[in-house]
Amino acid sequence: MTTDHPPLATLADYVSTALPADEVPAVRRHLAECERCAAQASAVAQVPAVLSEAANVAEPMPDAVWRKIEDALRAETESAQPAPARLDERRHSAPVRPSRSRSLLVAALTVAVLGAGGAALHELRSGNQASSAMSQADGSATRSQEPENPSGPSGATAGNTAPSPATRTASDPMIASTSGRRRPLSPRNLSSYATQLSAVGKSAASATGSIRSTPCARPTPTNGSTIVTVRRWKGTPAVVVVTPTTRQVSVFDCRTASVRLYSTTY
Amino acid sequence: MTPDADPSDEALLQAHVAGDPTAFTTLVRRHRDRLWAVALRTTGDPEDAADALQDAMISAFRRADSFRGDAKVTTWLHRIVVNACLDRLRKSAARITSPLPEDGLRGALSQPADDGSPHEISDRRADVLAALRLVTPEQRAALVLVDMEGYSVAEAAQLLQCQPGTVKSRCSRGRARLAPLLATYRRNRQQPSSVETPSGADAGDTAISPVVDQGSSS
Repeated sequence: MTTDHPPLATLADYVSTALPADEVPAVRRHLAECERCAAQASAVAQVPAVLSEAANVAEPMPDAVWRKIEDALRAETESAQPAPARLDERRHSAPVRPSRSRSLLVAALTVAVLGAGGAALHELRSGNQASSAMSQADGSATRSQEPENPSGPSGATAGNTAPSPATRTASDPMIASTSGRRRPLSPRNLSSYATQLSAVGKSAASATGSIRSTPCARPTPTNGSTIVTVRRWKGTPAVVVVTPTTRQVSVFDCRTASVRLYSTTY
Repeated sequence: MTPDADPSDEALLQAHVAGDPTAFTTLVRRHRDRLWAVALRTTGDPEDAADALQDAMISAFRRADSFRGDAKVTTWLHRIVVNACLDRLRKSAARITSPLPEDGLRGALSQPADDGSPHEISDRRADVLAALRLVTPEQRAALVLVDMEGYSVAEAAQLLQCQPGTVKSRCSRGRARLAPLLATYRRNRQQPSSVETPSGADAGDTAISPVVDQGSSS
């Protein structure tokens, strides 16, 4: 009998083949002599069998849980095409929290004031004309982190891909009327932007189905933000988020998921 | 559902990526009980399990196009579920620092459970779940995957995105913690066939050839 009993952790490591090879022989010798430690090691060794046996007992998912998941998946199907899908991993400032679920994100952002989104959308599209809010914001809030898009907003011209909806919307008279100029947004004229965005959204969507305002999946909260997905922008899905309360406009690249292309305020 | 041969998991996932609005739900429904079991055992709490599972399924829904086909779909789902559970547990870490009082658990565990009747089995299952809550989430995830779901250490390491040695070590520590608590079952399990050899009790990756049976029960 050795008086030097190895700790249980060592015995467990031995049993679980997690013990460094050079410590194995000593433990093996000890176990051959020490009934108490051998019993302990044996107890550890049998835990997997006990667990495995317990795992064989069926664990049916409660119906309530299934319904919740089914609902969530349905909402997902309805409200989310692949484009904005990876938004939830984003790190960026308000209003979009890097929240645990995109449903939440959508809930937090979606809705209401489509008009603000329309402005952002428009400015995105008229980027080529260089005097959009995005461009102006270059020196302030604008950030372009993605190496592939070093040109920032002015490279954002959607019109360079021929039949894209952007081309179409950029030449939309409603848009053209404000192209090249930053039109200030205010609560007062949000409704006119709303009209404008619906027009853009409708025409573009009916043209190619590639612009879509995300429907509100859940009742929305307080900040009255808007999320607009632009599913083809420089060949990449992008999302424009406008937060009237902070007067902030942000554009996210959905492909790289974590990059805020730029943001500005209006 | 299709009346013909059921589509494979892979086919369902592909259909989902291609835009089929029901394929993903069909896939999840097919595996719901096993996914639930993994979530419940890993979190140790039905509410956490439900939330984590929902997060995981939404995440899987969106990330379906990242499935590369180099593993089974169920493995891929398990990976997402287990990691969602761990995420959730980390976020609510404060709550899991107050596990069941051990004495109470010992009391519960010392109830004889030897005849294998359905009632006993379900008690036993509840006790095992309770015992699992006493180990850390990381250890629990390793034990769930390796000892309960039957993944190899290497597979579990991939699922958990860590080294195989880390999985082994987490399993080891978890087993060490659980061993005294589950001793009752061990004894009961051994009674019907007292000649059960240690290697017979060996499940999965535990190579325990040198372990000598304890002989007497004290």
